[in-house]
Amino acid sequence: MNASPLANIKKSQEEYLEKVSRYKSLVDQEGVSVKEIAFMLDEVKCFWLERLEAIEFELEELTTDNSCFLLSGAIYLNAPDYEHYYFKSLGDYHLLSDPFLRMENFFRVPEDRINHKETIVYFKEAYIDTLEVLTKYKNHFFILPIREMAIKDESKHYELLETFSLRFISSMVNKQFSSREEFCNNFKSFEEIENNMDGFVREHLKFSDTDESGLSLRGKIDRYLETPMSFKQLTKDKSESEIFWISIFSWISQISEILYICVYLRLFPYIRFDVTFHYLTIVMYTFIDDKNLKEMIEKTIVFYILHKTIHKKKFENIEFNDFCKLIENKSLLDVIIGKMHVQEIDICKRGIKQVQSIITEEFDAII
Amino acid sequence: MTSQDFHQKNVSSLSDHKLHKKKGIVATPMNDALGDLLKPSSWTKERMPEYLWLGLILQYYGRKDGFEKSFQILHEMSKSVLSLSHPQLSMILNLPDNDQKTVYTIICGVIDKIVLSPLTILYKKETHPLFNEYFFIPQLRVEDRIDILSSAIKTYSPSQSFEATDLRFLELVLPLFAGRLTFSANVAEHTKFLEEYPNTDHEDEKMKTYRPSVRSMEGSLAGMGLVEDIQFKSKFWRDIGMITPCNPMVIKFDENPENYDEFINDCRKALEYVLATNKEKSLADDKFDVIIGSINYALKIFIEIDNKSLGNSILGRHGIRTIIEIHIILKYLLKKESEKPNIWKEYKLYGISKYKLVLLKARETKLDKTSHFILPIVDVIVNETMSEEFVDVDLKYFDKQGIREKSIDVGEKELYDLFYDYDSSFSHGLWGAIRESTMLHCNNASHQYHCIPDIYSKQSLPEVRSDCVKTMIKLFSLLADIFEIPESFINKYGIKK
Repeated sequence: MNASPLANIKKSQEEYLEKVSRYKSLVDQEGVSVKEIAFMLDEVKCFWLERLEAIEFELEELTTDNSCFLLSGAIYLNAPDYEHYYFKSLGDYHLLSDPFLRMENFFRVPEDRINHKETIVYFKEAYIDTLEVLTKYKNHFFILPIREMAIKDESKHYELLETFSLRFISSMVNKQFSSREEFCNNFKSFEEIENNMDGFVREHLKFSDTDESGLSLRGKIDRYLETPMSFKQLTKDKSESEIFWISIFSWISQISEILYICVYLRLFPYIRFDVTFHYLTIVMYTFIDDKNLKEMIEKTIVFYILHKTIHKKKFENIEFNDFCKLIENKSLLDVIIGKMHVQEIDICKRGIKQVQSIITEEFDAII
Repeated sequence: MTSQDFHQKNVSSLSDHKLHKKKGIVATPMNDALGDLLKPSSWTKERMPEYLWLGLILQYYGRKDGFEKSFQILHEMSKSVLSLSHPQLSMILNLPDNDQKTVYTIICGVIDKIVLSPLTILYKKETHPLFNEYFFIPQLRVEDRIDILSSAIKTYSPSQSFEATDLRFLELVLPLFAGRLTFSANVAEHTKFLEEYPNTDHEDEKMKTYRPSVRSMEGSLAGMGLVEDIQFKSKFWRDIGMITPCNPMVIKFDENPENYDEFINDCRKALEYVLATNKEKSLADDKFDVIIGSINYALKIFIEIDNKSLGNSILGRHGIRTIIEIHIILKYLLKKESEKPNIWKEYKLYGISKYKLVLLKARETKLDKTSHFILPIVDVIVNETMSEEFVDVDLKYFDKQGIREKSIDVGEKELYDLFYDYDSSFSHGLWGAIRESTMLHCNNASHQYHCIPDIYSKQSLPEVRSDCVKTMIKLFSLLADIFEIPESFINKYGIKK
């Protein structure tokens, strides 16, 4: 019997489509409950747990000689907005962390603790997008239990994120803290925290994808708490220093986890969301001394620049399959990186405009 | 654990077994008496999954409160759902909806539903909607439920543990409450344990007799007309096994730190001495050839084991098996030479005839260039002392006796029994050897402690070099019986002449 290199991953996509399709009528229901969604999440989790070893094996083989990008900092692909064209533009293989597993924690929170109305709407959007990826874009993108493959011990992983965040937040306020509690006890207000930051940090601290320039720390956090992703209800009865911690920790731990997962699984993060990318640029200097990590971050930055440079209009008049054929065997990423090296551009330091020109030039030559 | 400890183990000795020579088996007393009538039923694999729900109650509330709550549930069930003969989960899940509702309402009236919630990971809404209606808690993550279930499975798997015996006791309670299990007055003394068991601490001396009684009664009950839901059990083990990872345990034996360079050098010097002082024999004496050749062959094997650090490996066992075989055969040849003065030549011819058979077959086959069988070399060896046209192929054992009979003949039965036979399993790739060397114990009770292959050779075996040296010394004792060897060697290694 002959097993093709991606046999189990491909098979899992078909079986997964069959599994999630069964919930279509449930998800379409007007008043689908958290409990009903939790039933589905159970099925999804067990589905992946049963296939974890085979998928892990194939992924390890796949990442040995290929550039595999992971959609990071976003729950789902959002194909209707041409995001699949962007994602497909660079690299050999394109992976998505299972959106339902990524949303699982929201639905494990007791219903009286958070307002699930918005999360259910978001869940439905993710569901529709997932079905589309599995049907229309089969074999172009693979939805996999990425986090489950990389993180085996949840408490150790959390400890790691907490330690990194503590070190990072300590450096922001120019004082070393040994624990989150110590930090929170040390500051009484947002202003006290802000006064301990130097100008650069104060200016570059970002909590949402809105224009925050000129806002104080209080102003930024207040605005952030109005966004659905902040889960304002969870900050009820918390002190200001605790709210600051929760808000900043979510972003720092997100980027730390992205980097950890990608290093562990030999993937490259594809980040398109501004705030997530912003935190990458803040934390990346901790990692770029390592050759492999620098290469990874470099590719991530190039991909982000591509997303910001190419207007989606470019894709409007071309079918996705035709687009894939056009970029096939072009090794666009290698070409762009190669040209950057010829022009001696260290993208971690400078050269955004030049890279934009290279990308535009390459894209214009293709489409 | 020492071999002495194993003698204390409550198992049949070799002499208790019965030899069926014609069938070629040594039967255990139990199998011998009951034969095909014996149908063992496993608590862990077959019955425990059915009662795990009660185990979860005991695990959550502890023994005292757990028993109390379980009794209350089982008592109410015995009165309300008469069709339920045993508290088996498969039976409960197969009850008509109304009866199921009654059972679940009883349970939820006594315990917190969080106790049985972990089971919703195995009995999902799609197939068991009613069970999930009562026991599903969205806030409990899949991993948390798996952890609780895995812990319970680990606790209740060992069939004779205190905890498993408690659970086995609960299996008896529903039939007792329902009046399906009754005892006549004249055995009341023997069934007293049923009343006292739940209220007696496991540390109490009385429990030493109560526990076996509980297990025995539970085992008997299991064998008395209980309809087994085979699909339920196999699905239980399949589902919990598939969603939990293996936990391989590696057994690693340290390499023997002893340095054998000096021993090897001394052996080489002794052989060199024998060769140098018996030059005439080496020119044309079959006996000399066989003895010095065989001992040197054994020494080369030992040197390979030592130099290549194969003491903890499978090949180390192949090696020592051959060294032992050489010792037994040399001893045999020496014993028989007075009866058969030609035995040394015959022995050489026997070996050559085996080579010849392969040679004849090889000539009819196309050999790969990279094959380790080099036809011209074998051809030369086969025709070295006489033309192959005069060499018959001997298909039997040498001297028509297997190595076992030869070992008895020369008084080396113990060496054969303990080592040769054991190491032969490694040479033949029999399951015992494969299991010991190549399969890792998976320490996940939810996987029923299966084995997984040691793909990356993490596991090692106990060292063979010390046993090799002992056998090599025996071989050199044989050598010293026939030829003079340096006195220093004899004294240093306690060679017996």
